[in-house]
Amino acid sequence: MRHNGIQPQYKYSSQNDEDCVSISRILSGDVDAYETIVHRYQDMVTMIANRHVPRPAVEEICQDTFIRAYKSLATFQGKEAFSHWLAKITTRACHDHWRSVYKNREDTLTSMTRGMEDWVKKTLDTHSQAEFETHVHKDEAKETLNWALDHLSPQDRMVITLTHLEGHSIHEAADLLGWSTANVKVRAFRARKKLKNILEKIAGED
Amino acid sequence: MHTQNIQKLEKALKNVQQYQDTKVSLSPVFANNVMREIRRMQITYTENWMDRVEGMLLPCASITGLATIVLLLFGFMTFSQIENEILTLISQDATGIVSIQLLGL
Repeated sequence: MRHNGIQPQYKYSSQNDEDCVSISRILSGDVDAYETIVHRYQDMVTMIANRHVPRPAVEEICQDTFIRAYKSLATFQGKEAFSHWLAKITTRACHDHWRSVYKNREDTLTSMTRGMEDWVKKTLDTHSQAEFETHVHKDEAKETLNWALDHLSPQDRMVITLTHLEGHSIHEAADLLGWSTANVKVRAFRARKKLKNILEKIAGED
Repeated sequence: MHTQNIQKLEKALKNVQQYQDTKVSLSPVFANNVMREIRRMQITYTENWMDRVEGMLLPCASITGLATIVLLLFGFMTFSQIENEILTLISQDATGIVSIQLLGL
């Protein structure tokens, strides 16, 4: 936590030059230099958090991410881009958010709202690509996605979002989450099966 | 038909995730809030560190004080013993050789 006197252990690279300079200053005790990092990466962190957690929680996750990053700044080796290192911290903060939410969740899962049911019906009835895309941008679409993901565990939720919905490879997802590739592979397979079961029910009810 | 519906829903949800609005604006004071929290953490860390040093100061001072007293007592006892031995030596020195040659009296 106390960075004064700690020597930077990372290697400099042309891509990371500006970040390395800022990090070097922070590690030498110039706490204010961290503000540059926050300004430089707040949009990226926000974008990642917004893909994983509901909008009201985004700011809290972003703050948590920057604080975690500051605490472990001395461990940044510079072997990868700082942005990637920060993306991993953000993804893990999102995972922790869901773990905490699921731990404190008392109520059982609600059934689909009228709006969600309508969205499913209309989506299934679409015939053209344009019509299909219009439905995708509706508020109910995001609600339905969240409703479906709420049926999965925090781990499955993160894995399915990264691999299946966002298109990351198993290796990338494992790297972002800090899990083994085998673990992500197994989880991704099971989670996708669970999601399919949920969708089967939705499509069946319709 | 049922499988097609599932695939359609799956594709729709994939698109929802990929094309959702990514423009989320944080509060204008977001960076300030992060920096305030970090400075607060830094201050707390320094204070805790100082507390630990202060906490160690009293036991260290006590141990040093005690050791000094013990050394002084040992010194006094040893010196008085040496003094007695010298006096005994001088009083038993009938020829005066010890006094003159060794002690320079």
